[in-house]
Amino acid sequence: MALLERTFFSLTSKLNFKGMRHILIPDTPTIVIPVRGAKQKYHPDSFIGFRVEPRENHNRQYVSHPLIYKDADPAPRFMDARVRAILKDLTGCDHSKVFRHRALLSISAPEIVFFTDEQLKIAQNDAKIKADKLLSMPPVVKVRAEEVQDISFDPALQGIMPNFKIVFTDISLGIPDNKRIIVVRENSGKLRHANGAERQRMNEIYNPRKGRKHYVSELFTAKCLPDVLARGQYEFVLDRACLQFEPDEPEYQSVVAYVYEALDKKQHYDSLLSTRHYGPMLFFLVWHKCLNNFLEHHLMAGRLDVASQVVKLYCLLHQKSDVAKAMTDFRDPMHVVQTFVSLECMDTSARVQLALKQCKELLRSQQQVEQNVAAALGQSS
Amino acid sequence: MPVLATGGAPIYNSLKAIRLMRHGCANRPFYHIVIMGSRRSNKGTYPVIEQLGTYDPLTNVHGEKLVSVNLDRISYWMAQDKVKIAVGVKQLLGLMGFLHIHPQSYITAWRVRAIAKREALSKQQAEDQEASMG
Repeated sequence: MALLERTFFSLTSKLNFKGMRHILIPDTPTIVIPVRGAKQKYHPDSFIGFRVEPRENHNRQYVSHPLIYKDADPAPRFMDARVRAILKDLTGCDHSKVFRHRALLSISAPEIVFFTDEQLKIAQNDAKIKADKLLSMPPVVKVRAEEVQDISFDPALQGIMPNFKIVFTDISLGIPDNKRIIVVRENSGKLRHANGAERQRMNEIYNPRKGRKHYVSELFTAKCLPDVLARGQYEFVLDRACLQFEPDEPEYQSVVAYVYEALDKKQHYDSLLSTRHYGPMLFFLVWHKCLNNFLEHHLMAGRLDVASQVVKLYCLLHQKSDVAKAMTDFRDPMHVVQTFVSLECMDTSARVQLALKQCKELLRSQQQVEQNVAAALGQSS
Repeated sequence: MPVLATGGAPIYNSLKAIRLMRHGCANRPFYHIVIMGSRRSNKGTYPVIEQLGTYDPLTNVHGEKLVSVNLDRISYWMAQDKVKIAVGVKQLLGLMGFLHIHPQSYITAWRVRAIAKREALSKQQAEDQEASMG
């Protein structure tokens, strides 16, 4: 009992009113900002109270890549009907790949229905429209401008918000994300429009999209992306990038360029055939003039028509280049490719020239075989 | 008859106020910008006529406080009779550039600057004293 009493007294003596005061309120003065209904105590140097500590995923960085569309605007060229026709033609439309089962979608047993000829025609037409929709290409546009517009500057407001700024977002209904009013008031009294990153963050908070992450996914970091690409999951990464970013974000263009480069190095172009990413990938290679691997791959396989189409695309995108000036007639694919190789690939890659040579030999031997077969069947050409 | 945004609570033709209503929980304030009968308390869960926005007074990792305002609806309510706007909301709308800057914002800014100045001065004096002692 005596012990209990002693401890009790010692505790009370420690917790007297003066001591409490001393513990709770430090000597430094606090400032009360009188926003009625929102009274907060601020320390002049730092915010006292809750502070959100950055988690690990706040420090992550997206992969960076120099080949983003930052100088000239590719959008008018990409929207050109001739360019789109070539891209769509080369993408192909293999229905078994376009309509394959996706892992994330719910799995249902296939339904077997008997059709008349007319019904079959209608169903095929529907499937074609559906496939076109699934194969619509993500837009290729110039990267967004980073400079922000100032609205006003009021020096009398200086210091009103120590160590923070206020971001105001208009959440009126029916306004698309890119036209939403988002402004920032800074401590200096400046009112400005939000920059790209802030806009993207606010849009995500007030208008969230399904499947988007509000933090940097580890998939898009330099730590994980090479491993995923080494496994050949190009389409997976590109689909995720389309979901996560807007097309004019530098992060999107960096991630996508990183994937295209990895794919180009390994010549895995066929993995994107019959997907919506083939067109932008080809556009990227042609726009940035890194066609050596692509041409080599297709010439080695004897696909001269693909190579000649790509050269045609090159002429459309680089109209001031030597090739575009020299090229007048696109009818003979061999002539087209030869001109391109002699003008553009002369110094850069001997492998393309070798591939062209092999392609020629391949075609000649094929022709020989055809002639022999015809002769054996008794047909004279 | 269509159900009102109040969830069926009656709206009387009395003075209304656009103000901040405290939500969130203990030690974690979060405010809704609402329009409600001006005699209602903004501290309890009283029915509001309409929510017009939000205000998060705690800074996030990027050092920002977030305010969202439905400007369409705020303009609509400001055009109605018998609607007053609370000082807190007026300050926020002023800082946003939607209204004129509220005088209270200038007073606050001036006070913060004055205190910072005073602090710097006292710090300087203390340092001088220490130097002279040492």
